[in-house]
Amino acid sequence: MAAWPENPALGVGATYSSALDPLIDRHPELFNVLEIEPQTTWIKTRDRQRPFQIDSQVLDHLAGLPGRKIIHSVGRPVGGTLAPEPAELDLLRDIVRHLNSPWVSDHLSFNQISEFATGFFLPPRQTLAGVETAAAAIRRLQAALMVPIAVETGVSYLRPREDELPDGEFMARVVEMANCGVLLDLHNVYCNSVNGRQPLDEFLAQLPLERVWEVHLAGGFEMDGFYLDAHSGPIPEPLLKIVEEVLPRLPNLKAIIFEIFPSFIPIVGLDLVKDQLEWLHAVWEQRKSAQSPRHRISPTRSETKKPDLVTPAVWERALGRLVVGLSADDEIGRELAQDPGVRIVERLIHEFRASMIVRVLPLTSRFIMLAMGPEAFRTILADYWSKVTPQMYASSEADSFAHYFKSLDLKVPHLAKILEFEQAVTATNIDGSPRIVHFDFEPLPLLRAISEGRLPEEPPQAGDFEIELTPDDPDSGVGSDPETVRPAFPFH
Amino acid sequence: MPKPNITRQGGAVRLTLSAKVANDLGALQRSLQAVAERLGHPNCATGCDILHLGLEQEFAFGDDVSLNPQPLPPRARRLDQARGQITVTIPDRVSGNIDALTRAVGVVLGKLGCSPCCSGFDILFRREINTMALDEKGGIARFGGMA
Repeated sequence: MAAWPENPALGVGATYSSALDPLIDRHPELFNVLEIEPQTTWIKTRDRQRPFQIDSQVLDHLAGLPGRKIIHSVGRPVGGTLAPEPAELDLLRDIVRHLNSPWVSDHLSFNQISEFATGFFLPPRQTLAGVETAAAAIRRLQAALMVPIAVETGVSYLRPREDELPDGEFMARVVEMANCGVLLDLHNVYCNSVNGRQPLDEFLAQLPLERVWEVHLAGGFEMDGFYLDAHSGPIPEPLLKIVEEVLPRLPNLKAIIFEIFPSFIPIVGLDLVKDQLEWLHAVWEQRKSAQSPRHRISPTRSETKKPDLVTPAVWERALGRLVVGLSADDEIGRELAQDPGVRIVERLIHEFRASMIVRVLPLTSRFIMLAMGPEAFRTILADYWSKVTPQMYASSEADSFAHYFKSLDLKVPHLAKILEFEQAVTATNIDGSPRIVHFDFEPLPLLRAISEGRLPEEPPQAGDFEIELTPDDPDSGVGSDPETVRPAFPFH
Repeated sequence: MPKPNITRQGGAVRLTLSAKVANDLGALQRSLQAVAERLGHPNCATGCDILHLGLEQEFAFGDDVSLNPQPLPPRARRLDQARGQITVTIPDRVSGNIDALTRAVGVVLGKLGCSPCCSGFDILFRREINTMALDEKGGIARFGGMA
C-alpha cells in the first residue's frame, strides 16, 4: 500500500481548546500542529437549509492559531451504519479546505442509531460485516472531503467477545479494505488492554504500522473498576515507556497529539500540559533519528467461529438502547445487558449530559443547586435522563432539558426567569439576533450572586428592568468617551 | 470589547450586554462586578445604585471617579436615544479583565457544539457540585426553596 507519502511531517501538538490559549500565547513553539475538532465549534440551528453553522469569527480564530491544523472529526464516526447528513459533510469539507488540513481523522465507532443519538462513541460490531460497514463509511467520507482519511483506534469498555474479531485484526482489516491511514491512539489501546481486552503488544502486532500517520496520547483515571480514557491529565507512567518503544516502529508517522479535555485544564494546570508537550517533542526528535522500523507481524486473519447473526445494525440498536437506559428487547441486547461495560458507559453518558447542561445553562444549574440542593438537581437530572434521549449538540441538550424542566413547574422564585434569560443568551449566540428579557425584579444582584456561586443576601428588589442581549458588543455609541469626561459622576 | 451598558428606556432600567459575556460565568461575574463598583457600591450585592440613575442627563464613567459633575462636551445623539436615558459605559481599563476572558471567540467556542473527542469523563458537572457544596458550608442565606 502506498501510505500517502505526500503527507507532510507536522510534529508535536495538542487538541485545541480555548483553555489552551494562554499556553499557546506563551509557548507557540510547543505547538507545531493543533488538532481541531470542528464539530465542537458548530452551532445546531433550526434552519433546515443550514442545520449546522460555524461563526466566521471562530473559523478565523482557528486559522490564526500557530502551527498547522489537522481536522479530527467528532460528529459522525465511521464505524456505524448511519451515514452523516450531507450538510454535515459540506461544512466539514469547507473547514478542511479553510484550515488546509492535510488529512482528516475520524473514529472507528458509532454514536447514533436511527431513533436517537447515543451521546457517546460506542464500539462497532467487530465482524467481517462490521469491517465492510466501516470501510464503506470511510470511503464515503474520503470521497466527500477529498483528503486522505486516518481512522482512530477506539476505546471499548465491553468485554471481549468470542463471536468477534480481535481489536487489532478488526482495525487492520478495516484500514486495508478502505485503504486509509491509522490514527493510533495509544492511550485508547492502553485502556483496552488494562480493562481486559486485547494486550497492547498483541494489538500492535496485528496492526499495519506503516499506515500510522498520527499518534494520540492522553491520561485517564480509574472509576468503578475501569480505567477511563478521560483525557484528564498526564500520560500514565507505563505508557511513557511504550511510547518510546513504539514510535520508532512507525515509519510514516507525521504527527503526535496530546489530548486533554478542557474541563480538566483548570484542575491540572497548563504547566502540566507544557511538561507533556516538552516530553513529546523530545520523543519526536529521538524517533526521527531511529533508523530501523520493525517489520510488522501479519494479522492472524482469524475468521468468526459462528454465523454472524448479529448484523452491525442490530448490534448498534441493542447497544445504543442499553447505554441510554432503555431496556433490552432482543437476544443480543439481553446478553449485552449483563456486560458491566454497559453500565459504566451509561454512567459516563450521564456525566457528559449533565456537564453539557451546566456548560450552556450555568446560571440555571447553579440556581437549582443553591435553592434546592445538589441532590435535588441530581434527582431531576436522573428523571430527565430516563425520559429524554441524548442530544449530540450541547445547545440541543440544554434546550431539551429546559423543555423538560419547565414541565416540572417548580415554584422556586425567579428560577423560571433565570432559565428564560439563559435560553435567550443561547438563542442570541446561535442566531445572532438581539433579544430583550424583561424582569419584574432587579436582576443584577441575583445574576451576580449566582455567577459567584451563592445566593444574594436579600430577595431581589421589585421593579421594571430589562436586559438586552446583543450578539457581540453592545453598541457603545451612546454616552461619551470615558477618557474625555473623567470628572462626570452623578452621585455619591 | 464587551462593555455592558445601562440605560433607562421609558420606565424600565435596561442593561445591555453581549450574549457572549452572559454565557460565561467568569466574564458575567466580572462584568456585573465592574458595573456595581462603578456605580459606587463595590461591596453592595443588591446593586441598588442602578435605581438611582434618575438624573436626566448622560454620564460616562472614567477611571478617576470624581464628585464634580460638569457639562459634557457636545456629541451626536442616536435617534432612539430619548431624553431621560442614561448610559453607563465601563472604561477600558476597568473592563480589561473582562476582555482577557472574552478575547476573540473563546467564550462561546466549544460550548454549544459537540463534546470533544473523549471516551471518558467530563468533570465539569462535578466541579459545579463541589463549588456549590463549598458555598453551602460557608452558610449561604437562602431565600428560595420549594414552595
